[in-house]
Amino acid sequence: MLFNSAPFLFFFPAVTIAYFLYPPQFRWALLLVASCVFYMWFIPQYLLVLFLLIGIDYGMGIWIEEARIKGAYAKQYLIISIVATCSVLFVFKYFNFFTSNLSALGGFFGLHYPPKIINLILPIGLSFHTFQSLSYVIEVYRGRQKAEHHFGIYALYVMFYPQLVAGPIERPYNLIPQLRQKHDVDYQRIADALKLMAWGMFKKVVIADRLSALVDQVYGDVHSYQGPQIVLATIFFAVQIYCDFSGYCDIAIGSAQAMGYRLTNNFNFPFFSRSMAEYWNRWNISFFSWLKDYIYFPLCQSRSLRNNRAVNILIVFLLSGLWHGAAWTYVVWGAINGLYLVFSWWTRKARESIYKFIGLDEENFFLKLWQTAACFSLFCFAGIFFRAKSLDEAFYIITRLPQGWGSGVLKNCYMSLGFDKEWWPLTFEILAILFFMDLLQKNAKGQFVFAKYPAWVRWTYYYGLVLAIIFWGNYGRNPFIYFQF
Amino acid sequence: MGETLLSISNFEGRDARRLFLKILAFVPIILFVGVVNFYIDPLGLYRKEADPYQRDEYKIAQALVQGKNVELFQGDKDDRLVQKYFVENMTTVPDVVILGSSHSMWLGDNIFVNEKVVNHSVLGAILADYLGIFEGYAKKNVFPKRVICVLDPQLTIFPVTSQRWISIKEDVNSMLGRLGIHSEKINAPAVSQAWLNIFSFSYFQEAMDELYQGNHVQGYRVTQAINGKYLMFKDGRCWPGFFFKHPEKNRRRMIRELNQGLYGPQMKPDKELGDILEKFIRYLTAQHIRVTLCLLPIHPQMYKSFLKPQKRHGGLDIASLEQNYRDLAKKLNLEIVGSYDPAACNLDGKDFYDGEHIKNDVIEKIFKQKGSPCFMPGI
Repeated sequence: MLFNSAPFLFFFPAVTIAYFLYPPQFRWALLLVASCVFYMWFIPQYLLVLFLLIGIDYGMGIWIEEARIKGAYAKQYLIISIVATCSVLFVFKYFNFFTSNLSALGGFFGLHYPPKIINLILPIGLSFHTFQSLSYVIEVYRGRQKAEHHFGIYALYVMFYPQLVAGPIERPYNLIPQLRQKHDVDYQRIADALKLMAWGMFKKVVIADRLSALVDQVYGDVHSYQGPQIVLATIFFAVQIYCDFSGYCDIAIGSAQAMGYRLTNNFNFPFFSRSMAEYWNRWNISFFSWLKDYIYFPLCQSRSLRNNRAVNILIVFLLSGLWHGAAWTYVVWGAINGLYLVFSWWTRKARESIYKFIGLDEENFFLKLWQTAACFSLFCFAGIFFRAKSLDEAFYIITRLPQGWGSGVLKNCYMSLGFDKEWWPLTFEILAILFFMDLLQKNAKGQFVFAKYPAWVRWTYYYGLVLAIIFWGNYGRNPFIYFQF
Repeated sequence: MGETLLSISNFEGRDARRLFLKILAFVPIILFVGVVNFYIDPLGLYRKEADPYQRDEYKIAQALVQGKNVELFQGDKDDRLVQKYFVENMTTVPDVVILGSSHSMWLGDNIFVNEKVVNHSVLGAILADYLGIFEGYAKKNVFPKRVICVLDPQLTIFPVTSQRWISIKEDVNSMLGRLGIHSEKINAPAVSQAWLNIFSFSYFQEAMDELYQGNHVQGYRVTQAINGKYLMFKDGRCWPGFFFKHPEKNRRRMIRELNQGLYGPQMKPDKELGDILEKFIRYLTAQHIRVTLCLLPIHPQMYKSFLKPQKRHGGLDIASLEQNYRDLAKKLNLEIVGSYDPAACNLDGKDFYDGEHIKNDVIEKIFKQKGSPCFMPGI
């Protein structure tokens, strides 16, 4: 079920009301059934894949804990669990990529064999719940989380519907205790949750889906466009993916919050970052902190790579690219972002010396502006690989970037993109709304932006938001981008 | 139950009232959406015409039957209804009937010079339109000698790409009954289902567009001139000139829609709809009608996109779809002309008005040219 679909408009209040009317000791069962219904809305058969994953890691979690207490075989059980869980992901997501590359490699060495292709649709959100399951077994192995003996609670940890298909990827020590707690109805919490959900919906259906029209047009026919159009489409894509994913997360967090659950905040205004390191601490936070905790830190502690921070960063970002999709475009996207970080780490002292030499203070407005713009530009550039259909296309796009910047660039851009004249002002208006709202929210530090304003200001905001969603929203055709991962 | 009460114990009556009132404050907006959807009703889901004979569509059909051309001032006339009334009012049976979409609107007596031909092509046609329009002949139990069945890629894909056939839903259901089919995939929404749409935001946006553009204002005139913006000729041919006003813009729109998944993985050729098409054709041949399947070339860029399934949205495999139709023709021993592949008919981008529609002179040329894969043999 999509958050931006009509069934969810009925599903969410029905589940939330039923949740509070249900006896607390059985609420997990209600949520589990609701989560199954939510997931089955996509492809019902894949519920079996999900339960296979749940079954493996539920059993392994208990065995790992027992083995850890006895002091034997815990690591072996952990490895079996990780291999089994990753195998499911590999079969559905990476098998075709692996076998076609193996075939190409064989061809390079004169060993010709046709790649074996299996036609399976990737179960929605498989990468997310795989990582969530892995997080559980690793934490049990590390002793930071007790093995969950209640199968229903464990299944709900993996399947909790708000974050089932696209995160945030929750840690067991954050979510599992909450699944056992009794949550009361709280007016303010529900009101805040609804506001968050409305804002998330605005970002998705009004901004992301609007921008996708231009992005899809240009990236679907790159040979017909030159630098200015491609730059505009690339910038719009960066904003689109932010609004799409953070909008999803807002709705997910809001729908959990309405029932009393606190999910991890997955975005912290990444477009205001001043360095790439800061960027990745603010973007898809739950995923990158997962990579940090379970890949990067163990690599840094390993004997062979202890002193090789650059290599460790690159490994983590290559994996992050591969996690996003089984294609070289994603791998290169990950590599570019890794290189940004390595380069930024290597040049940090030199840059600081230059700022000092020029006499620029860390808090200087223009320095902040430059750093923020530079970060955004780097993110956009890498995004070309994320969005392009193939590496060839991505490189072709890059060669087109310098072209078409002659006189009349704005007019050419307007004419060649062919959108109605009403489309442009409205698009830039909603982008301005996004910018100012993010700026206000960033400074509000977790509080509702208009909380301290008079009622008429708040109500203008509420009505404006709802009317914008109704009048400008795009319905029915655009699933969330991160669902495919 | 005691636990339940406990769990809401700190939710005081005042809070409940506040929450309820806040939610209630948005009800007027939702009601406004409902009222607009009901009164503008772009798809005619809630409208019951008191007297269908007062409709413009009926008068247009009458003019066509009388051998007159009609110029439409707006492109919003329900062309399904025009075709329905056209068939109902016919006094003579045509030799050739064309069932098609906007792609085939220019096929008529310019191609079939020696035959009486009627083109029943409608904008954005899907299989249900063919069934509903042909039901007019079945009801009268008079049949043409030949049916040209234009097989556009969207004809049998699901979910269906157009709901315009709902205005002739009784005829569609009646034809389905003749074929012995009950299909959920071609199933006009029952009144109760239509009411579920009453608060639909997308329906509301369509309604507002219609209101904003003034399309609800009806208008047409009988004419002999052929330079109007949207013409319907006495043989049913159409010249929806407004379509081609911004060809480049339309081509871009097409690319955008392709990339946004208009023909994405959720819109696959559907086996059930394919079976219905087969049954419909078997029904036609059982009435001793010569059926010719026709594949019209599509824009090279669109063809290329369909050949290469898209990374994000899957895609329609046009080559295998064409092969399916060729297999169907072979199985039912039918003639099949044309190809989706523009290169097969030596067409390039310049031969199209926009992303989809072949230019009138080109369509005439390829259908008349002997040796062309599109060559349409006469009776």
